[in-house]
Amino acid sequence: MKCRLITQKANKAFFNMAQDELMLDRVSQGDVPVLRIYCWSPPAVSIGYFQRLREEVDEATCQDKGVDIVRRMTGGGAVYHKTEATYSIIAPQKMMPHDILKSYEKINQGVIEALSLLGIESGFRPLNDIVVGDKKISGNAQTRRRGCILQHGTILLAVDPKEMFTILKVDSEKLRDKAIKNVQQYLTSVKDELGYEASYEQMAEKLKEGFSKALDLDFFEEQLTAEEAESARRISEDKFKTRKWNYRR
Amino acid sequence: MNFEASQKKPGEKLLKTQIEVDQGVIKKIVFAGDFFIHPEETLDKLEAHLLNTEKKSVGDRIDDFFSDKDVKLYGVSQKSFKDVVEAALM
Repeated sequence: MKCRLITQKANKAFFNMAQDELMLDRVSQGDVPVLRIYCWSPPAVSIGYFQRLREEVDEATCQDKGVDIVRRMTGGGAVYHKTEATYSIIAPQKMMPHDILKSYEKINQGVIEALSLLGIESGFRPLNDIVVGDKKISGNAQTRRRGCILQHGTILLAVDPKEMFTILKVDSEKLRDKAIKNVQQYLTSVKDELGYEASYEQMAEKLKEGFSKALDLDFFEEQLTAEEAESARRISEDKFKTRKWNYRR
Repeated sequence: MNFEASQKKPGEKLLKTQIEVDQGVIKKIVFAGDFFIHPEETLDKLEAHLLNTEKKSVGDRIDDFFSDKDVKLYGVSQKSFKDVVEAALM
């Protein structure tokens, strides 16, 4: 399957989400499928479509640390995006399994293959996780609109539990300590698995190879055009940066 | 009067609700959580469907909503919505 590959460096959270919406719109109108690989700067929290921002994120701490907060179009939980590689794949629904669980499993093979190329053996844990043993290394989320599937997901390159739980809300100080202590039991990262922190560039390259192999994608590389960048900038300003969107629930 | 509840059943994600009731009738209801619903607009529609429903009839109204919908729920169930509302309004 022919697929456009967009490999980026870091973007602001709002611009990342805006590009996903733009590409969903364009692919729904007949453009070829897109795989975009990117990261986040400044660090950001994305919350799931059905979450309440105030309940999930310590807004004061985010403001102090310069961490952006954005609501995703996809469900799932709150994610702190810092030391990671992220992908978004947008494709016509007919190119993926109709069954949602099977489509997660299929698309996640791209990440599983990428991790394997890095020397990490992982597996799919329904609905939307990739795990090493029973520890999560990648979370993924999907939406289906206008005849297309958008799935995006992160691969943790390294994790700092203390920092994560000052950004993401935990019910009490007592639970925060427990959460920090327990996180190593259910979360892992490339650094934890390999003993060194792979760079974003290394992970991006493996994601490209992994998705190509697992989903039989024939890539052509094309960065955002000036028109696309401007359209995404407008979506970022008019939607993803707004209180109306981020505090909608 | 305001009511709220949250629940996390085994195998499901966290589900919360906040409900405003005036003279026994729901005036505002919001659900939240880290679950997945396809299509995503379903939750807004469910909340709108439950407005101006008598407290005692909410469970039936939730069943009525889902009876003719092609909706996929992951990490939450039709029963979970009923249970969390019941827990809030108890």
